[in-house]
Amino acid sequence: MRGPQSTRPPSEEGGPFVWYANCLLFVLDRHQASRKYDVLYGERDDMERAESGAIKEEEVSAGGIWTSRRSFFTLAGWALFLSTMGAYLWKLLSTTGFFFPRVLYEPSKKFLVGYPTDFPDHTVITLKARRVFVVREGNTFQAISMICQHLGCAVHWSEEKGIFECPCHGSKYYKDGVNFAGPAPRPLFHFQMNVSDDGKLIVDTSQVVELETKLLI
Amino acid sequence: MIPDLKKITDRITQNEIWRSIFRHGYEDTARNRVLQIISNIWLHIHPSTVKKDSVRLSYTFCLGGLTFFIFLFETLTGILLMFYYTPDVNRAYADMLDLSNNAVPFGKLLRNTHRWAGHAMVITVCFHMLRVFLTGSYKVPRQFNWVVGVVLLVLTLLLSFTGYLLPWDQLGYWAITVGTNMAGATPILGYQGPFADLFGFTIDNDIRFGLLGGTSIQAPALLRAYVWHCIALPSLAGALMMLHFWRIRKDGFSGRL
Repeated sequence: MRGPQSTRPPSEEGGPFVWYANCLLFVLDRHQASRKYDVLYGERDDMERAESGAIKEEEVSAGGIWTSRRSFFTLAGWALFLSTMGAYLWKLLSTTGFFFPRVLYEPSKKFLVGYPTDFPDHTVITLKARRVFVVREGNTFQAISMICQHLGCAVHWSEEKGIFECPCHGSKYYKDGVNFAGPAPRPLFHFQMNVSDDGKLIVDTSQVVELETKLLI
Repeated sequence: MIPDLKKITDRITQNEIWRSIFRHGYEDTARNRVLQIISNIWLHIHPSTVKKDSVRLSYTFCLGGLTFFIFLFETLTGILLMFYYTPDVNRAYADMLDLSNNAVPFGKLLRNTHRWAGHAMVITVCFHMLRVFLTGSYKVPRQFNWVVGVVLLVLTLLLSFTGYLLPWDQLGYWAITVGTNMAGATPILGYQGPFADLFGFTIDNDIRFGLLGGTSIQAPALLRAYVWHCIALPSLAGALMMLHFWRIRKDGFSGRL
């Protein structure tokens, strides 16, 4: 016996799904065959025992796959086992499962970046560790994300060209964060800015704002 | 006095210990030739009968065997590297430099051969699959083994990918950034992918998060890459290789009779 396909005519071969279906059919087929074997030999044994008067005639019938008591418990057992395994597997792999930690030790998404006077006028200051640019134009401030919209590399500010450039796949953005070249599909994210009680600038990278949004001091 | 060589060899070989390990000698008899094949683990990987046509080197080019050899080589060098590498963000890069600068005896050889063999394994797997495809060896009754092989290809690529981050250098860091962002753009499962909003996937519960163990590449990502690379993926690949070889034995070689 080679495998499932040897019991199927070659004309039934097709894509993988046909093959998987054949596998299933094969398993069911074997199951039925073993049932037949059971019925055959079970009946012969039962008949011998019936002849010897050990059991009554009506108890001999083994029933079908859905009605036989043994088959029912076999199926029920498998169903219970597989559903339990499935539940544990779900618990392991789902988004509340093992691979998804409940506590993160990551830098806060909301942070102070300094006093407005720390940022010279008409400059783009790179806050490398925070992955954010602070752009000052007169008395307005913008926080622009360093993360390229293509595949998440860090773009850098090119002072001589006056644009943001991505080293990975050549995306380019204007000073206002709008993409104009390369594979980037949309402008860089702009983040919410605020002023703290002691007059420092706050950037909140969990709050993405419209491109036109500026903090006016 | 000239020592009796026959007597000495008999003394070594004709005892229970030797006989329990080696079951046959070297006599060139039909029976012994068969014994030599079936009692050798490497030759035993072959089916009991191999078609004359498939024995030709140009039929298989030993590509599957080469891949397996490289896997064993990677396991060996990988275990040795693990003695000197710490999957910690403050140590990883320095440990890698120590290995590269021969602060460890044979460190440079170990690290470089491990890396090159990793590249080579991807190449031999691809050529192996090309050979199997061109000789039609994926057809009946070997479809299942082809599917196992495809899973092994994916595992090989994942082994390469997880190993990429371990030096904790710029190349690996950005490669993993790009790679996991691609995972983040998977439909439904990734937070940037289509239909993610519909199923409530955000940056802190999508598949990228599951891979990195966080929303950005930090210490958990390095540890995860390490555990996947050194334990989980090699174990999975090893188990599937056993299945793969066993199926070759059962299904036989393809080709003309």
